[in-house]
Amino acid sequence: MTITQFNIASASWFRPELALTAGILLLFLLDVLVRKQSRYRVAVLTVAALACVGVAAALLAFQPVESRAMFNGMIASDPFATFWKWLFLGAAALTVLIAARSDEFPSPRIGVFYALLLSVVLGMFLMATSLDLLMLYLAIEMVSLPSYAIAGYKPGDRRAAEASLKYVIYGGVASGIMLFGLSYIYGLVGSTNLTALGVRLESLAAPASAGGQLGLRVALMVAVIFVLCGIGYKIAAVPWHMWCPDVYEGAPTPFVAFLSVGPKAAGFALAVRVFYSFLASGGGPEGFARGLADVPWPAVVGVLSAVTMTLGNLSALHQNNLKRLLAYSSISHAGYALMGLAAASQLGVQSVMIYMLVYLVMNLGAFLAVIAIAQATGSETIADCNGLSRRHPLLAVTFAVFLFSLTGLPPLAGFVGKWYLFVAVLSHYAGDGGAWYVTLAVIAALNTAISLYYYVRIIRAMFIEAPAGELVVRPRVSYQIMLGTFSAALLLFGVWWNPLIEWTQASLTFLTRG
Amino acid sequence: MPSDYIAVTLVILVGTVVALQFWALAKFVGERRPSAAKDIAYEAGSDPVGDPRGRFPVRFYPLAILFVVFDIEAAFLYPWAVDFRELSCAGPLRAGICATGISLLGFGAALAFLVVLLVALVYAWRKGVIGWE
Amino acid sequence: MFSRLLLIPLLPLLGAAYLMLAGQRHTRSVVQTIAILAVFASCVISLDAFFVGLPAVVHEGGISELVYTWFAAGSVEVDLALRMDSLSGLMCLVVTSIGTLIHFYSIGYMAHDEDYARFFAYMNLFCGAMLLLVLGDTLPVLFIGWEGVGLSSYLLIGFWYKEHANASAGRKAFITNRIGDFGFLIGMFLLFRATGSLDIPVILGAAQDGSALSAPLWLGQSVAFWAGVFLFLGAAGKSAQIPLYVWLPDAMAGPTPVSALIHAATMVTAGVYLVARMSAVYLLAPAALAIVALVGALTALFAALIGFAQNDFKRVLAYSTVSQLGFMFAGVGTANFAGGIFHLFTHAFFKAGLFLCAGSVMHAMSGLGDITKMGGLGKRLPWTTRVFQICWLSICGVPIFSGFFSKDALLGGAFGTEAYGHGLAWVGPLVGVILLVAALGTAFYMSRLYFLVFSGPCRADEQTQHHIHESPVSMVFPLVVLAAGALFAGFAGVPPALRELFGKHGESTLAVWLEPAVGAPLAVAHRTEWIVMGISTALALVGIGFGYFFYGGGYRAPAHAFARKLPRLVALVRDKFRVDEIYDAILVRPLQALCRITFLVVDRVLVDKILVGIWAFVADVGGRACRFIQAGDVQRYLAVFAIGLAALVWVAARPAAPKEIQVVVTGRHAKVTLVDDEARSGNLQYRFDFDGDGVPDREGKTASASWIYGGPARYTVAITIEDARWHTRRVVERDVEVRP
Repeated sequence: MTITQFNIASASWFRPELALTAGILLLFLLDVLVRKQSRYRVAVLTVAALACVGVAAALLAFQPVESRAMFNGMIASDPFATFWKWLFLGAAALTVLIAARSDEFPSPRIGVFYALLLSVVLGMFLMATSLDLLMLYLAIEMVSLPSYAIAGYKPGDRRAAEASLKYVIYGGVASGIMLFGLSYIYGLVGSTNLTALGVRLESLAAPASAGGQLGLRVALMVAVIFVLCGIGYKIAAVPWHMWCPDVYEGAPTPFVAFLSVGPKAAGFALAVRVFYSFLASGGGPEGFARGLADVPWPAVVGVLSAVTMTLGNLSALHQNNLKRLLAYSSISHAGYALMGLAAASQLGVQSVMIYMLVYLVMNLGAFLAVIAIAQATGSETIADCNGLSRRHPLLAVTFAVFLFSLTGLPPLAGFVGKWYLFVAVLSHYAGDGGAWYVTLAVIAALNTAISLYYYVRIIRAMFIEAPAGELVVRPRVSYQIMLGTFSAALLLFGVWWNPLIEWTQASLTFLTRG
Repeated sequence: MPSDYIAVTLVILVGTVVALQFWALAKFVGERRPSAAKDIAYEAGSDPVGDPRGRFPVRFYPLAILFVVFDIEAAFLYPWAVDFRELSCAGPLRAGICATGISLLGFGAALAFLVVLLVALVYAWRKGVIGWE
Repeated sequence: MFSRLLLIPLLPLLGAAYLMLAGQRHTRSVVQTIAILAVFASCVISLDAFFVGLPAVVHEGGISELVYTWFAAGSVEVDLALRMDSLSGLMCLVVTSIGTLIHFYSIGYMAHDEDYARFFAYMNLFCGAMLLLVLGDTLPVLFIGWEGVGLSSYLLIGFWYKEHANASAGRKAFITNRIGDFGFLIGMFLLFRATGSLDIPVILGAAQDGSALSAPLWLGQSVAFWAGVFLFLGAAGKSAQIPLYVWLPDAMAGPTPVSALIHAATMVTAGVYLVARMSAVYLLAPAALAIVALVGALTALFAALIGFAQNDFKRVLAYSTVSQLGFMFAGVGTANFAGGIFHLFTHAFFKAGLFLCAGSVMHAMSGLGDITKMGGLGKRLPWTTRVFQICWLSICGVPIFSGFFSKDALLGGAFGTEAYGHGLAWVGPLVGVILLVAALGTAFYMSRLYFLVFSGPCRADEQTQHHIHESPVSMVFPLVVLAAGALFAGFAGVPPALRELFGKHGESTLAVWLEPAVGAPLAVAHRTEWIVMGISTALALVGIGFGYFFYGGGYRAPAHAFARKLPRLVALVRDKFRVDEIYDAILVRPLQALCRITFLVVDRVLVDKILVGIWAFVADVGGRACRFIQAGDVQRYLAVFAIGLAALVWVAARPAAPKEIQVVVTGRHAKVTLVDDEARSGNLQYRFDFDGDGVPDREGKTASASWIYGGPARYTVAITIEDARWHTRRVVERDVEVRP
């Protein structure tokens, strides 16, 4: 049962967001008020950004546990949203820590970056919580707009400018199409509220004898696919992935690290939220696929998933630039995670949550390693990794851990994430469309094998190739600590994943239609 | 209800009549003294001859954007002002009079809104958008 | 979460991890202190847990601690759970106490080795893994320990890896064990399939007549039988039984403390432990027990025979270990689980003692192990000799030494067992007789070893003789402790018949302790007991006598005469019955040939040429396509965007292919039915074209139609499925054959 709160009463469920908003304003002010050339400028701004994230986290920890629909049913507060908020705050804090010691953010401009980054986080919070079509659209734009700005962040860099412009155009088209789909839905159903949508859709989807209007379904399905397109663009799923490699190459690497995990996770949160509230029948997540019984939903998402992982992996095979390689790898990981959505079950949703959690750590780690390598060599190609195991064993070993975890080898956490995705998909093998699911799982398994090839290329360069010259690789201390911590976490949760299961299990309660 | 659209129809009618009336007055009553300067497309003083894709200094754009942003946000204050009496009353208004205590909700909301605007203004100012050097 | 039992395996594992990471930086004294403290601490904790909690350990099914739920997938929940009951507790005590002693011994033995830290790290790793194996309360945890001891055994056999032979001995051990592990895994899966759980207590609880475990599986045998056989295959690999014993003699390539700890006292007994642990499953399948007993007995005899003609000190002991492990399996195989574990317990002491003596002797002989070059060491190495004598008499089964009691328990159990029922009743006495012969053999080859090494004149060269010296205290001390164990450990399991002489009644302490874990001890008639004791004592003395007759004070005339008379037999035994060669001919070489062919066909042709070629082609085309669309201009990006969107709409809107097309032909009458869930929804329109002229012959919303053909021929039926709502269609075809 959904309890709806009105505006002012909602505030106590909205404190983390309010704290973030205040923090963003504070950062903008600090950016112009702290002296430009001061040695402590970066430190002050970093501490302020971390403090802002910390306050938001503290408020999130004391969030009332009851599920609520806030602001007249615009925004949800439930354990599901809280899970994603923790994930976003974690990604933000780590990104701030990475950016603080990066060469790509000169001290005069780092304040803007932090402020924009936190704006993106605020947008992601809204993405994971929005309960209304309009709110959802605004949230996506709130994530996109600062992202465009940060993508073109490097002053005087042509590639950055190009990346930013492409991102803007692509994002504009995608969100336009999504908006178009949303308008269809509004036209069909007469409401923008997700919780009301499901009820109305059910009556539409009923047999003609019970007053259903079968002829409208085609419009409804096109609308659903258009909405999916907006989400697909956020998670960089094929065929809406084209912006991804260019933006990853042009944007500052710490932000790319964030972009590859944060908005992707927010996209999945939104997808679950929309398609559950919207397509759920009988209010439970298990009814996910039944609502629009005639839309072969698992087929649509399954095809999307298979194509995404295959194209991502095939394109990654011949990349020599580490950032582009990781861009394609992140596309293929979106494909893997889509398997969980295609499974259309509670287990499927849980597996997506687990995967995003694990993916956050391993992908941030991989990007961190790339940053450390680029700081020493000045570029970011696979050849720059040559002989890294002799130059800096810690960096080489942790990078290898991240790459193996991305491949999904045991005993690393990446294996656990993939394992649950496979379990979610294969649990359907005896049911309707079992062959579909088995095919999907087989394609995913083949893709895992393909991905091993290009990940191992990097590992081979690090451990077998001879170093090119007498280059000193000495990552910053904070990077070394983070590299170590990340790999330790991947190892730990690779053998002891019950906490992940329990946390995601507890976070599976969320508002569905009223 | 058709009656709902009476007002709309009236507005359309009045608008059309007024526009036509000014055009007609100028056409039939106004005095005409054509000259070369008056025949060019815009009478704003600048010469419209040249490449239409000519470059403008980029400073125009931030300023224009700032203008639009602050303008629209100022426009937001009008609906707030209309509802101010109701927002400032802790209970429901009775015949326009607040019988219960005073609420700071209306004031606080506008204040928060203005603070955000102020921060934006300070930021733009310090970034040098308002100046023109 | 916190668990005291967890500390027992965890401390040595932490020690191993620390020594591996940072051991190189520390001096030898720091390294040895850390390593010994880690094992000693877990020894103290084991003692505390065992004796302080004695009533609980022994009578209440043991102390069980759930450390955490490792993972849960659907209905399967695998816990990291540890249990200390009398069986695992006893094993724990043996492993930690002997482990501590041998760590101590290694200080002296390894003093001159460069890789001091690496050695102690592996030793700690072994102890940790072994303790995990013993304490694990679920099969996966046990299996992790099982693999862990395999790994550390491999690492330690090849410890001096720079010599090729050592490295290949390590590999041999590893591969042979893998064959066994395969059996272990299959057994584990069988048990899981039948009981739905991997928890040992649950499986044992489910092992009852009429349960899923006693249901027939294959060849008329029950699940319990096959699980038992496959688990025994695993046990045979780990515990070096026929046919998988070949790795153990080669494993002597490792340092002697390793041989003593891993390849004599502890790891190799893991198989016996496994069978005893799963006793309830085996009791359901007497045939599996019979296999265990017979294989054990044959191994005992066979290895003892090979021991007759070996000339390397450690190799003799290795075959002796194989043989003694055979005794233990014969024990557990006759359902005499307490007896088997009792022998495991005493054997741990005397065999570790013998090995450490071997180390001490080789230490004195400048590393030489050839017993034909020894002799007369009795006076030069007084402590070592005394200890060796005690252990020798113990393994021969001379009364009052520990081996006497445990061997007697096994023999009595073999003759007295009633576990097999009528069909297999002959197994018990047969096993007993084989074991008696093996015991005679044991006494003989051990006496041969003793006399050749310690009595008579020394046959070594001058230089070696000059260096002979007694070992340092750190090596002698563990020897003395182990000798004490070999002398007194037997008193824990004095048989009831003897206890009566001293006015005590009932079973021995050990049997009483073990009863809740492995079942009541076998009730053997006192008469049988006395007869067996008499015969085995006589045989031990006869064996020693023969040994003296052939080898007392060095090679004597009868030994030479025997070798002259039957040179081929002696050579055959010396070559270990050429089993390695047989394996080489029937297994290794064909496998290698198969590998070479597979390599040529699969790798060179299939993979390199075809797969890689196709793969490269696909990747190349894919890459080109990707490059084409990812060329950088946004127009193309958006074109892909739009095409993708259209494709998705198409995928979503197209009717699904029917699950199945059924065709029934009766005479000239054909009926085609599409099996499809969506058919019932009434949204689909079907058109059937039976004769292939492109014109629909039947039309309608039912997914089924009939047609009468003009004559016998093959026809193709084309069915068009159209979705009435958005006019998407799919065409499927099916061949129909009308026979005359």
